[in-house]
Amino acid sequence: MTPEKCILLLSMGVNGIALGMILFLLAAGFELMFGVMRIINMAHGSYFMVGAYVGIFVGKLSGIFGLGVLAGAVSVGVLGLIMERFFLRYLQDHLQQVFLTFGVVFILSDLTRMIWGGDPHGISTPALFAGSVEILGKPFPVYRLILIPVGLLVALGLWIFQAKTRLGAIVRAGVDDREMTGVIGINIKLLSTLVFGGGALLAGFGGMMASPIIAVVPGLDWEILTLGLVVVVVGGLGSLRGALVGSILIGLADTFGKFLFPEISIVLIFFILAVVLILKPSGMFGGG
Amino acid sequence: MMTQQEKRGWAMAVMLSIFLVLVIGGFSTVFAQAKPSPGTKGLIKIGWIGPLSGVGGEDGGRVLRGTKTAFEELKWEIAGRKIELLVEDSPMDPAVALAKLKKLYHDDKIDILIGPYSSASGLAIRDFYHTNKLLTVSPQAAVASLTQEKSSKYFFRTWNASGQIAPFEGWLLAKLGYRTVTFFAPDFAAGRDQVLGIKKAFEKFGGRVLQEVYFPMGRTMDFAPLLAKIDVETPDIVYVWAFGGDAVRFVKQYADYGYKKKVPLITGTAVADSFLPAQGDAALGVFMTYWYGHTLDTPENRRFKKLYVDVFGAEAAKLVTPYDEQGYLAGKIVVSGIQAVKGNVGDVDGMIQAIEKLDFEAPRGQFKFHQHNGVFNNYLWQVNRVEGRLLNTVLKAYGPIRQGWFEEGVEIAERPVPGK
Repeated sequence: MTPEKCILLLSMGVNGIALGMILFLLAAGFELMFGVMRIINMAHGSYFMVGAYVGIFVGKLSGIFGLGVLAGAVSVGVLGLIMERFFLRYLQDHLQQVFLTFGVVFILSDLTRMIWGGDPHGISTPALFAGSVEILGKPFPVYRLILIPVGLLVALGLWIFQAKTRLGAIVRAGVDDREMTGVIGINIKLLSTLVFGGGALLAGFGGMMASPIIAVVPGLDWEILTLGLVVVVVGGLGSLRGALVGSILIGLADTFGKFLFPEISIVLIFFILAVVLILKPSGMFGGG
Repeated sequence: MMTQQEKRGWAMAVMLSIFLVLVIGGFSTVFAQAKPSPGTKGLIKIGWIGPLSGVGGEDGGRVLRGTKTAFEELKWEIAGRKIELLVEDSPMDPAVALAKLKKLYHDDKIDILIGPYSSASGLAIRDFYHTNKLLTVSPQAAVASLTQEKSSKYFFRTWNASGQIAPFEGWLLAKLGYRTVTFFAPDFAAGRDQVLGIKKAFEKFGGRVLQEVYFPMGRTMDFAPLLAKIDVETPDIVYVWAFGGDAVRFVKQYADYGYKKKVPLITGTAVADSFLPAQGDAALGVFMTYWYGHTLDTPENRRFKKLYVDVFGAEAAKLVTPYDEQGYLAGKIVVSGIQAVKGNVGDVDGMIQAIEKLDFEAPRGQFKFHQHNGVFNNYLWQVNRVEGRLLNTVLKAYGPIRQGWFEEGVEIAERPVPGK
């Protein structure tokens, strides 16, 4: 194992973790929605994509990347609020919910194509984080490095929210026993709407944060949803810890898979999925 | 007797069916896109099929714009007869292409066809246009057999046949002095064919291929681990063949990870003018080979761009893409055919003979046919900042390049760069 090989592998490792952070932002919102409302939001990848489209549009227009991030996150958050309040709330059956969110995927896909066309859209890395640093002689883009603390901060924030705040306690109560929570006087309907909006906001935030690296193009919704679903199944549905560990694992698997056997790198990811499903079907940290 | 539930179910089914019929009926009339005309006496009907929705829809729309411009130039009239363009959306599906063509031919009675766009669609409609003696001018449909084993005197292609341009790129790499290359291409038939075509020529002219890296098309978000292979064995130059999201990501990440400073990057597609806004400065300095670009300074291209401003307005004309040009070219060729027979489109052989003899200045440069396939120059470009935005600018010109040049050992000459 030459030093060059070591450095290369290390660099790949950092890469995998950064990719994992993007996946985490997507998965965290998904877990939130499922945890509280048992809703499998098939449109989550679409929310990610819309966040990127809107964010890039605002970011380029204003020249301020941060404004784009805000716009992307908030616009999708509002979209989520509307979806829950006016559509999902009226469906009790899980299958119906899946179908509805599935339909939303097609609607958003067509809408974004109508508004922004079929060409890819991208945005430059914000000046503050542009450029690269030399890690052991190999250039590494600063922006990707930044994604790691950003993702960890979001994870920390979500954990503090869930474990340490009153609102978080209410959310956890809603996860544990929805009916009882309603019985003790908590407005479970409002809670559901807010949680759904919050999860959507995270997806939109993730989409925009990822856009300097992966741009946005029709089809991104399916692309990211596939990986996101693998992450939540592997990590365990409804578990924040699962979302974090799962996304880092899948990020690393994707990166090393591509490095070692590019044409069939996807096989490694689905192999991991298969192993988890066979040994522990509820996921690594899922409660079932 | 039906229960209340069953009655409601049936009522809903009937209502939905009526709704569906109305929607389909309404949309088919809208989609015919027929131009209002004083009457059908003397009308020349030209069909157009290509993708206007789904994958390729964006570029298909540009091809259509170009085609319309060719007729707009003549105010939609040739030899005293009015032209009607009947447009059908055929989203890269061969079965749909054939069905739409049958509709255009049997129901709308088209005289000439412009299209199709995808190779698969071309193969699907080949027997139809050949049996029905329908003059067909395709702006793309690259699959070589349509002008080789399956050629038909009724079919012309203004694009290059597959296998025509790739060897040129290999020849060029060797000529420019690069001894080793690493390829990156999407893992499907056309991607592998492209690499094979370049490789054969590059090796024939003395080059050596270090690695061929194939990635799953449209599903690769992170190219960094693939790019790391360049560290393992560093070539003189990297060649990438990619489009859409893959192209944007590859070029951006190639710059992000510092490879652009170490190894020059060349492509046949990945820094097309339409991708540059998304790629930003990451694309600066990247080389490309292509036969058309917005900044190409031929007298015809200057005129063509000005025409676009007149027809579509300054905003739309800000970027004229190769797709616009190839649509325009197909339109102009059809126009030449019709003019040659003085509007008598029943004389199909007359139109064919005239088109075969065409040798004229197109926006891309000199154009003519060889075995019913396009012969034109190719250019070496580099991405630069022009008037405050990123565009490809011409470095060198070569040609002319025709179908089979490599197999037959035809020499390619360097030519003067237009406008210099």
